[in-house]
Amino acid sequence: MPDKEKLGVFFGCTTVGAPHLLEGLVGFLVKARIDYVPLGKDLCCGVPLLLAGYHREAGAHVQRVKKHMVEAGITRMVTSCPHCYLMFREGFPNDFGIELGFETMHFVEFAVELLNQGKIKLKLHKDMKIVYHDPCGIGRRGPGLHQEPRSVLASCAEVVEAERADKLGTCCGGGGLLRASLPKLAVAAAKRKIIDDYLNKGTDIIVTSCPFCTLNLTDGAGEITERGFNVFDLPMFLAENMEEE
Amino acid sequence: MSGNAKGAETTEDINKAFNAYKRKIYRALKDDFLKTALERAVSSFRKNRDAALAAFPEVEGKRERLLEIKDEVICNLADYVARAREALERNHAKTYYASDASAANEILADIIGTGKTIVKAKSITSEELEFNSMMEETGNLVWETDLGEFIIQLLGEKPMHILAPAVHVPRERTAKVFSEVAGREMPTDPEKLTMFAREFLRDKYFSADVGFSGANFITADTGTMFLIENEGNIRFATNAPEVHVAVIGLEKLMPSLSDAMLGLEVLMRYAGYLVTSYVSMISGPAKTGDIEKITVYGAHGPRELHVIFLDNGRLKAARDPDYREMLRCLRCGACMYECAIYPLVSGHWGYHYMGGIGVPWTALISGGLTKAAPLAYSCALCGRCKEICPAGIDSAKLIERLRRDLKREGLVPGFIRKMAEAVINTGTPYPKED
Ligand code: SF4
Repeated sequence: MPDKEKLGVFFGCTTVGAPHLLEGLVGFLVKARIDYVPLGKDLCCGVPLLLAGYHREAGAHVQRVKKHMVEAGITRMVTSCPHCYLMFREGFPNDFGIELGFETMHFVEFAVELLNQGKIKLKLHKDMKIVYHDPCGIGRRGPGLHQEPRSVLASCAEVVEAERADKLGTCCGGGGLLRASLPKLAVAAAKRKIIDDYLNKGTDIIVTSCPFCTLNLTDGAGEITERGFNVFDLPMFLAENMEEE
Repeated sequence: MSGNAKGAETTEDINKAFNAYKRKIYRALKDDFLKTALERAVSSFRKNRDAALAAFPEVEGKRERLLEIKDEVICNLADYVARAREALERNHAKTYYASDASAANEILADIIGTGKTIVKAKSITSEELEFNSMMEETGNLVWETDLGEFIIQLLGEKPMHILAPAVHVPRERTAKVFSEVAGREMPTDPEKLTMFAREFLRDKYFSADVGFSGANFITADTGTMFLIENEGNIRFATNAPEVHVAVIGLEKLMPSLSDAMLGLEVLMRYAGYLVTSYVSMISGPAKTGDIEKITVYGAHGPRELHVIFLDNGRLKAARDPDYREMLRCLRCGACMYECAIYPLVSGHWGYHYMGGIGVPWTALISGGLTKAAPLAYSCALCGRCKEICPAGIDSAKLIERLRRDLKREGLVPGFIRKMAEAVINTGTPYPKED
């Protein structure tokens, strides 16, 4: 790590658009006393353009995003959205030949680092059980961050597993613009997933680390009558379960 | 890629098509029968497949070898077709090359003519030709002999899964439609229903003029088609009538007999079978030389074998560095059963080909870009099917590529366009209202 780190936090449209996600992330950053430059509060990373097939039209937009970040003069950047994360790490260099000149981390990696450095500490809940939903963007479609989030959560509660998890974890249904194109289908997928994978796990807490997964699983859980579930994006969950100094 | 989209499609047409599709999908979501049937099918498929893969762990290595073989074939498709045709002709079969569905239908019309009865084995490739309605239009009678397809045919519906076409039909509906055919009340007992179909179809095989089939593989060295099944109908349909006609998509080509054996093993296991009851290997018409060594064709099996190789966009797909991957598909059905979306709506998400892999197949092979446009936005792009697919096909990646082609052809539904334009114009997909 460089001596004088200037950390950027890229919020991403989905987090910015959902007040509780935004509060969760900001709440975490405040509680953990992180100095950061806020980025991407009014500027999309550009991934929806790629998902919509607008590769050609995305060129000018990503240049604008690059300028926004370069002007901020940051040395490292964190985002809690797996899709923004993939866009910066893969889309920018591979599709647009843009090297940002700093490293982009996902929030999961950042949380692991803070825990390891003793900068944050989680409250231990002896009887709390949680399940973790693997977002595709940092899982099988990305760097395969499956163990990392579980290890973060394990310092706080017992993590129980669905039959199909990690690389084979079932999808929440919220990606690929499906929540925009066929919202009821997206939510039905989340409901099905929760019933199949989580209903008999003896827990009502689902933690994930993607704003899309969080929103879609929350909507899916809302349609389940057998049991109430609380769905958390990782920053929200950590903010609520952090030891205060 | 452009050929399929007709310039006439306006934004309004696309929006209309998308809205009609959305209504259909939302209706399917509310269908409780469909839900129960698919839940049962999905959970038994998963169990069977896990068991098959656990019992034969070496299949993983064979799968990798198979992919190398398939990729080589895909890169040299035209050569392999030529070799397979040569082999078949040597075996006294007649072969044909159909560049598209209408060419295939013309060839079929020539071979089959009119006033014939056809017993048909399950073939998704035949859906590309709309075989049944084509044959009926030309004055022929078609009997589907696969039990699931038979049910679908009687109901006048379309297949909803590539392995289990009637996956969405509860037994009560089957009993009802069988009762109509039988002219008496049929019980809802699956065994009794199956026995009825067995009795009903039995003499059809022997009175039919033509047996029609597809194939799971066909080899270039010997011209041997492999047909995998459990019911035994394919054996009857391809053996009892005088004439056997097969339509085979180019992606079914394999270099040699032993390669096809490898494919067979991989396909069975990934489709959830330890082994299937039957595999037919057919390389030519029936023949004998038992009387003074003089070869006579049509000993006990068909006297004639006609094999039509169907391109219908496959060669073009094979030349595209992205799309060629879709030709690896073995039609094991795993991706559909394991998908987060497909089991909610079954084949309503699809045209002739269904689910995630069905989207590029619809765009390039059967349906065209316009038909594929609404389907392309039903995938959450999670990539789970790639992990499950024996052929390692990344359907999500193919669908992303297709969305680029749809954009280029102006086939983007309105709400997607609006969102994209918001990003371009305001910087975010959710612009603040001032
Ligand atoms: S895409 Fe793969 S998993 Fe799906 S049917 Fe084809 S071979 Fe099977």
